[in-house]
Amino acid sequence: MSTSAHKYSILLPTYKEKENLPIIIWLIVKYLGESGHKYEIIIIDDGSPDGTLDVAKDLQKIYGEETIVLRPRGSKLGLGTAYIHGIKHATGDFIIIMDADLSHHPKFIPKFIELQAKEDYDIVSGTRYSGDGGVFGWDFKRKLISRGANFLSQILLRPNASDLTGSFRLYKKNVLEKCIASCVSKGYVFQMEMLVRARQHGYSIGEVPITFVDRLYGSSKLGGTEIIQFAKNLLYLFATT
Amino acid sequence: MVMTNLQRWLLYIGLFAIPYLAIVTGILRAPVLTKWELEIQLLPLVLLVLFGAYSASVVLYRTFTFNDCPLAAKELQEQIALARKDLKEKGFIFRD
Ligand SMILES: Nc1nc2c(ncn2[C@@H]2O[C@H](COP(=O)(O)OP(=O)(O)O)[C@@H](O)[C@H]2O)c(=O)[nH]1
Ligand SMILES: [Mg+2]
Repeated sequence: MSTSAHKYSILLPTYKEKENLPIIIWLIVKYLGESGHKYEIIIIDDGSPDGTLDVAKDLQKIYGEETIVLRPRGSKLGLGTAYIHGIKHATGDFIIIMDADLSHHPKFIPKFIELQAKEDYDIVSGTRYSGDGGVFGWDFKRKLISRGANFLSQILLRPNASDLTGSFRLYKKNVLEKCIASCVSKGYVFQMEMLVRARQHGYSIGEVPITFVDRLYGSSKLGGTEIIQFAKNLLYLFATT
Repeated sequence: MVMTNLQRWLLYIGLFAIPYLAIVTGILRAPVLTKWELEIQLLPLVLLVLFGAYSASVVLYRTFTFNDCPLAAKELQEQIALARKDLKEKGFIFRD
């Protein structure tokens, strides 16, 4: 058992994740239980029409209200505000944000925690782009777009991290609050802006290579409009930071 | 004051462009400059092509060496089966 007094609040924003939610919760409970750290899982469901919230309630009955905290909202208000909403209810001094679609494996959470504790980093970011990190389920085109976008953002924004668009990270609570408060973008590019703001604030960032298994259930969106939005926001951040 | 990324780029471009323009417009003269006139005129183009080639090769190299993680996918599949079994034993009812 861990002797540390820290508590980790895991924010899980969900929208139409009824198949994935039970599995991700089971995995989080497994790995954090084994690690011995104090934690809570905050589920922020945005009125998913598939009944994700009912699934969450069933899980809460199994794992208890201490471990599973439900903070639903009535309608789909977006990811950025889902995090803000979740933080307000978080009782931990560290916040972990991750996707609920099983692309982020909870086995990496104890590694984030260890690295943070060892170096006292303000942020630990999962990275698909270095070390043993990688991605399962992407074709050549998807990999090329991803590598190209990453290369361009590295050159234009000089962040202190190799995976700008990933969203599997651990933050000190006050650091996350400050980064979010200074972010202007929403949607897909929000994660990128978070690390750029972190650099501006002078926060330290550690990295843990992660394997990213693209979602098996449900659908993900990366289309022309996302790419245009990404380019627009990249240029905006380039000009202003 | 902290420079933005854009200002930093403009600064570098300026540091290059000012002497460059001074040379190609003939404001700055020297025998050595006349001797290498064509090379100097072509310099921006050469640098651009080099940078493009560098970027393309880095991006392509990283695309081809992007880890595929088949083991991670396999592990996840196995854990999904385990999780479903264990959750059912705990009384959870799957709605799919
Ligand atoms: N609460 C909430 N969660 C969302 C919303 N949009 C996406 N999510 C969740 O955010 C995570 C990432 O979304 P996903 O569609 O996988 O994005 P992608 O991986 O970038 O394609 C998943 O857990 C989604 O269920 C939203 O509007 N509100
Ligand atoms: Mg996803």
